[in-house]
Amino acid sequence: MQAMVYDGPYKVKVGQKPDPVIEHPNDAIVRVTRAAICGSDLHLLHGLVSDTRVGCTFGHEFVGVVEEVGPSVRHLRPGDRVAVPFNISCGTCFYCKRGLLANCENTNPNSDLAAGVYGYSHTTGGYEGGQAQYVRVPFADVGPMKIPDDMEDEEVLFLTDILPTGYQGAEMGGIQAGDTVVVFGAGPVGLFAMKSAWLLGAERVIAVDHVPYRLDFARRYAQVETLDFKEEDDIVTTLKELTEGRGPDVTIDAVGMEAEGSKLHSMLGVKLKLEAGSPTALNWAIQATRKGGTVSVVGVYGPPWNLVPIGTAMNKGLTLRMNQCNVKRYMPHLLEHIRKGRIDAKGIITHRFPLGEVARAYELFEKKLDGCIKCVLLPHGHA
Amino acid sequence: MADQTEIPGWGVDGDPRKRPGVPMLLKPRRRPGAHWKEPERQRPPDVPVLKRKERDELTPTFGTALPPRGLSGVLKRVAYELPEHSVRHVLLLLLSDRVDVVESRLREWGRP
Repeated sequence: MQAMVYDGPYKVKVGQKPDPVIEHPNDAIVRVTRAAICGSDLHLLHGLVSDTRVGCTFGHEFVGVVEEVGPSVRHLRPGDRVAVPFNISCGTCFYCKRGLLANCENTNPNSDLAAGVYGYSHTTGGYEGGQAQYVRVPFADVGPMKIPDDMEDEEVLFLTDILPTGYQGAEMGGIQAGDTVVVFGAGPVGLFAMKSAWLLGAERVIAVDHVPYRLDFARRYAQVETLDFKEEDDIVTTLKELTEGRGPDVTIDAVGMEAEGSKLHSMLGVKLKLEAGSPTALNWAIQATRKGGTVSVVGVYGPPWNLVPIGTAMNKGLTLRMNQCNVKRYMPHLLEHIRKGRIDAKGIITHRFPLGEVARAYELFEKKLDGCIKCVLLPHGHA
Repeated sequence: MADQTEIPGWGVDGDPRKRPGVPMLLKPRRRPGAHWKEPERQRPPDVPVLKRKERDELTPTFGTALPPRGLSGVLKRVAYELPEHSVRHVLLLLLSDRVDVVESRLREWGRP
């Protein structure tokens, strides 16, 4: 089959790989019809995630059609259209029983940090990803959601990661009526966090980024106020000035480990790798949030450490909430929001490419060219 | 500031009881679809699969892609013998990744 292949930092190509096979009785093989490139794939691409092996296939946002099922699969059969959460979860461990599907302890032998994830290095279990024509889906009875007949693949594609991640980011903020919410990052997750903040009843939503076209898009798509931090002397001061000197009630970090805005952290974390990337957005969130407020983190960070002003968070009495997204538990709820027209998930897709042009797709997304918000790959062409 | 009346669905999830995350915190239960108490185990791999030091055996499922090989594989094996929270574990893995790139380039050049 054809698949995206990681060829070392900053290099991807398309290659041929053997078709996946059933390896566990509850596996399914899915023929991928749409796969997206996620901002967190760029952390892999840039060599920031440990044990990312040359030759692996990325891709944890995908939908497709079940091709084959293992002998213990009861709820899926060949021909079913499915949206597959990026987390691989057993459904019965200590964490899964508590809804913490992103923390499943039965799917990742390599690390206790997170559950298995498709195409996200051996640190999350060494599973092949969905930027390929076919993919192996473990615990097929637990993760995949059947796509309703009245929904198109692209309408539900982002239920596999970025829409639930954005929603969980807003939900972890504990937003109350009247709250001002600041979202750092106007990329796909940030956009969905903004939309979600409105659904949760925010009074005011402000997006912070430095890419003008993305801020324009956020204003149109999510009806938010925007700030370009490169045009402000000090973004933290500006945010406090906009909120009666106190700071926003809730801040959401939808940026993660490659934030711009601090030469010190870009040098230490991104260039020299002396910390796990640049935590600038998180630091701004801690510094800007009002005393007693909440900082919610859905941007991805990794081990071993980052320079973060934890003393500021402690003394301000902040609540810090964070996790990878427990995707499956949000899928039915958000499906209804899509169906009722409250969230146009498909509306953030700006580019579509056949899998054979995966390198170009990555380049466009990574370098933010041609107004790119979200790239979708079509592993089997347009059929 | 935005006019909330023009935002589709503004406030529909305002009640915390309607938020998907909250009820899940109340009562541990098996997830829908899971029809086992303990998941079956994946068949033993026919390629080397590494695991963190703290585990006695592999998890019930695991990936079998790209088994460790060459010098990078040796470094990974050493790294996974160190506790995951140890800085040396992470740094050795990152080093092994760089060695993996060099080894893969050498393999490419060595091909006819």
